[in-house]
Amino acid sequence: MAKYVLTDPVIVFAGSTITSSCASVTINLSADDVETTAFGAAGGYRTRIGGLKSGTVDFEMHQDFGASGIDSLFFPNLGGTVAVSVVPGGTAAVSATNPQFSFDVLVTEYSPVDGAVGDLATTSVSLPITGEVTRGTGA
Amino acid sequence: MPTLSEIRTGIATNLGTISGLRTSAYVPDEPKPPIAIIFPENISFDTAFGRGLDTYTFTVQVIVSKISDRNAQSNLDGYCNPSGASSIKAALESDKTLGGLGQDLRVTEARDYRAATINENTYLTVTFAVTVYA
Repeated sequence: MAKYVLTDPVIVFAGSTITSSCASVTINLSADDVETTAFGAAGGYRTRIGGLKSGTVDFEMHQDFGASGIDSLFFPNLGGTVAVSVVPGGTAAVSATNPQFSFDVLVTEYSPVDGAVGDLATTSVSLPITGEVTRGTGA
Repeated sequence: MPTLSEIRTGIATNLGTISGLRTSAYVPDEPKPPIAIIFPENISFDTAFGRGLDTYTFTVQVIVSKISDRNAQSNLDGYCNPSGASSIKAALESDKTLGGLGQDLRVTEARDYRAATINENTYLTVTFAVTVYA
């Protein structure tokens, strides 16, 4: 896969595809920084190893109170754990060059209304990932 | 997703609810006032992933005869009102989906209330800005 413009990722939240209601998606993954510096460290530099991993996923969405709209997916799941998957490369088959990131999130926040007069109704969330993140390649 | 032509026609249909006002989805060679003419101004593609949303901006120019200054201004004032039988804003927002073509529509402003010369005739005009989410 070459460099590409992000226009058509497949985003599934709680079993529903929300791609066409999303304007932005960000998966943030990180690992704790655990220091292992001891006396006599070479050259006087600190040393480190990676600790526990964690992550968040951020969505910027166009609000929709329709029967299967954004609100119907987020409001009932507030406080619950929901499955999420994101295929950044789009609808082509998941493969080593079109990976699928899958994980669960804890729905810790949700703003049903977030805007000023005249704005397109949007809502944004930043949700912590709970458990392992898998990078599926269709294998 | 709707075509540009379908959205223009949808806007013209909404404007057609104003009694006595001609509407034209396309720019006529010789406009016959009072008339509302629809001009596409800008299209922002891909405001959501997966072709989920495009944002269109249109201008609607309303032209009235200037045979009498006072009557022309009175007529144009009626079109500029935020509500009422002649209100452009109310007519355009009477069906914000344009018959199911789009998601939402909003008339954001009326501007450039002034005299204009068209085909050597002087008219009074005002321009409305319309945003369509489709």
